Amino acid sequence: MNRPHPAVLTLLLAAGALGAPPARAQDRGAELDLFALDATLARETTVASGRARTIRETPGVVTLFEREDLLASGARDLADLLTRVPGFQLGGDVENSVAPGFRGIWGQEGKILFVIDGFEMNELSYGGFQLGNRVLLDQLERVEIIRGPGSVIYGGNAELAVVNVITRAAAVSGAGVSAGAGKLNGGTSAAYLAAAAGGALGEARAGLSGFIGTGMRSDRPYTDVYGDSFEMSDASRLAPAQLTGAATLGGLTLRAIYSEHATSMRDGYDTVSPREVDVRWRTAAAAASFAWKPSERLTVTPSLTYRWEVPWQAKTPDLVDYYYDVTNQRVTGKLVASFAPTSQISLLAGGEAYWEQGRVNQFDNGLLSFAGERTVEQYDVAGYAELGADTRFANVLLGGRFEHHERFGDSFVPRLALTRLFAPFHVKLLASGAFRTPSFENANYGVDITPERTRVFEAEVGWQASRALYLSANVFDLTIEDPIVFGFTGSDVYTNEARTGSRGVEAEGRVQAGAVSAQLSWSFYSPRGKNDVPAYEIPDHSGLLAGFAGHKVVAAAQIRPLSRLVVSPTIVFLSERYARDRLDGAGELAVGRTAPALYLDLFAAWRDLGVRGLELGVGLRNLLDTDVVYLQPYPGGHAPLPGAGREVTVRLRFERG
Amino acid sequence: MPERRHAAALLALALASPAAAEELVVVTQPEIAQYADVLAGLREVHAAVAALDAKDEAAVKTALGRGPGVVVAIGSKAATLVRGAGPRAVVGAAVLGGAPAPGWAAVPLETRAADALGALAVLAPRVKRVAALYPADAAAAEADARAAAKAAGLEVTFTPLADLSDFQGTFRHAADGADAVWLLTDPRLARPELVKFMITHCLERRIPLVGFLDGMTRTGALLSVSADFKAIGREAARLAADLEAKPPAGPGPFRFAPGRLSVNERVRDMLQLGGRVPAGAETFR
Repeated sequence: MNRPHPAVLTLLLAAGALGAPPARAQDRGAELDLFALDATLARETTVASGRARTIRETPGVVTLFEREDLLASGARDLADLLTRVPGFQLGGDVENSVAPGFRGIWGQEGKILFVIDGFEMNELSYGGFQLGNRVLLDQLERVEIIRGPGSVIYGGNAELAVVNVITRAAAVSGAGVSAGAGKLNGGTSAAYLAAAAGGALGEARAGLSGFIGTGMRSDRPYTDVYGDSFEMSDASRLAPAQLTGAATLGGLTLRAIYSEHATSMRDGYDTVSPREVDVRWRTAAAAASFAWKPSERLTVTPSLTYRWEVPWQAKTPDLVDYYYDVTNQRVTGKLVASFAPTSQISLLAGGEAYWEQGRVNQFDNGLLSFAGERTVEQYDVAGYAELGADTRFANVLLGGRFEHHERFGDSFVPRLALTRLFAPFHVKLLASGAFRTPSFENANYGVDITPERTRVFEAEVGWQASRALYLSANVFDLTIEDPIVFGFTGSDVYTNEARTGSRGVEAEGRVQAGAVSAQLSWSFYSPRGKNDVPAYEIPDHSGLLAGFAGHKVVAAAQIRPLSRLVVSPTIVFLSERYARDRLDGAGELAVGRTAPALYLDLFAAWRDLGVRGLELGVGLRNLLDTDVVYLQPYPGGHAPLPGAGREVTVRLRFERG
Repeated sequence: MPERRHAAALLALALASPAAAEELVVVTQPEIAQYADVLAGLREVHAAVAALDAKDEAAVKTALGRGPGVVVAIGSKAATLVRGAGPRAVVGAAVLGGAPAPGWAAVPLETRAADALGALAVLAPRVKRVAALYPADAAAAEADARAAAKAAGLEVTFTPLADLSDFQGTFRHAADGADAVWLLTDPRLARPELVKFMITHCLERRIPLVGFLDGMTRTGALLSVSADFKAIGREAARLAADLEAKPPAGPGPFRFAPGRLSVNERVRDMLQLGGRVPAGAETFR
């Protein structure tokens, strides 16, 4: 790549900012900063948000990671983090890609929404978001995970869960840089540089955050179902780059993102490719919004977002199977009103509309089209509302979203949540509808394709047994009607099948005692009585769906023997898994078993190492050198995709704020 | 409202005659609404005030050249301007309190520590152990807080904040084992994302947070004692009169003005603290 990378500029700028001496409070008129921040707080805290909610009262099943949690965990990227969250597991797919499943359901194509700084990141061609050395945690402020549908507010793609990533661009005050590297037997597994810088001037605030890196998926051989193999250390590159920026002045907020995920692969779809192929995802987006507060009780926020992307780009006309070169665009306008007529009642109402276009970049070569055309365009309009009421008996949230899509017609999804905190217990009863609009390529390769529709019922109980001990458990019942399922009958095809889904339990315990924080979670799902999709079934194992373990246990701890030292062991256990990942004697795909697996990571970080703000972290990932494999959760003919073996990591971080 | 304050301040400036001996010389930035309130409070105690705009450095120099014994500087910009001009004593009003220095007295922006602890005791009588976080260079505020903690009989652990590079860890460590967290005035902690983090952490741990801005209370702090600018002005006038009568031999005194108390009743209900809302508190839900 000869062109200058935009992330490099940010990193240099941030690094330069580190050299500036910190100003004394009085010298910079810190009182004026305080007055400005007071005004900002007053503007940002509506009466509705003033009704302080904890996770225990939030009308959803939520996992939250603050910056310190992210840094202390030793997790390097979002994929690492999600493996530790109840309900999430990773699956493998074509072209060296890895994506999450949730509660046993494969989420690769548009079922799990990824949001970074308010930008929806699922690509428009297939609806996916690839993981693995993709979103580095060093420069994130917070990750909020809604373990359940979010369609009423977020629309399609928020069908099973929402992963909401907040980078430091919107929050950083000061500057920080970090660098990390990993070493596998097969070579350097990862290397990256990350930086963030920002600050306030009066009521104005601006920040930048970014990273650039490289790495590999695995140092192990990949062997396809036909027995051909290659060394993944030679062809499984994962090179991320991301730059996010945010600026606010009064009620005006401007945001922008550039995100790139450059990979290489030879695993292809089923057979090993004759040579290494570069595949790249690029997204750029910008948004402007203005929070207008005509009264103490009402906030109206119009916003406009433009997004450009080139996903799955593989410019290989000689390897037609992998060739993909399409540019997608979407323009979204929104108007959201938040109204709290009394301290017990709140109303959130919004309307939004988007226009989107997919365009084949090289139409002349005849390799790609949208049903014979170079472009496809469509629009969608939606309106939604949520009414919240705090009553003597429970906090009630009732909402719904109506959506009209130019090609796929009308959808309506309701939401009802009852939450009650009666210390030290809490109870949540949640019922949500969700839907997924087919993506460009779902429709392009679809046969009379229609949106899939989801119903989820959840119940959660929690008990704050003491300041040191918190326990919670939830049960769920998830049904997807008309699921969009990929199949191959001589060519790619998407069809709506009858139904799939799962039921299960997720339980968590958290302990905070002195210098030790510990978390233990167990996740269980079963598709019994819920799945009618043959492609996802595992014969003789009706309690499992393809690709995902029925049980997952995560145990993690952060031990601080010294105030500046944190030691973080993490254990993840997956029970046995099955997938159609091999051929039988007749040359047909057959079910294979992947044995239960235990993964152990160990990480330690020492901060203020000689210099205030300097931290050194070292880690051993997959200490037991367990075989990490990502199974394809549908019969696509792809063999298990290997992950990384034992890896030594190092992280150096310097931050001033 | 701010426009009216501006108008009042500008009118005061327009009417100000050159500093006469009996007049109290005040240097301020009249365009800042909070400083206009300080000036108004000051006038409630000392009617004869010559208010000078800090932007008009020539007028300030002329006035100071007449040798007033005491000058009140409202805000740090005015204070910086006046301190170099050589009056016998300077009262910094509504400035963030650093370390006392010779000839330098102040009624800082920080509020009386006893107000916050007193309100906490009424709202949450079972609270015994308090984690206090304060800016490392705010020596006067720290001293006031330590004295108030001792007087209240509370076990207060003080954590200085030099920079915020590992703030979340520092905060969690400080809050661990405490019955309440008390934030002394520190503009760096007023950033919305930090406020949200601190409130979430405290609510999840079911411990009250004591802040220093109304906005913190609205967001989910149990209570805040925020600056009462008129009270700061009144206290500054009294302090100036005292210094006029008896100039300090060493570092001037720092007198903390009473603040405005706000309480989040919903958080109070949630935490089941067993106390009551102090009289005169502004309440939010």
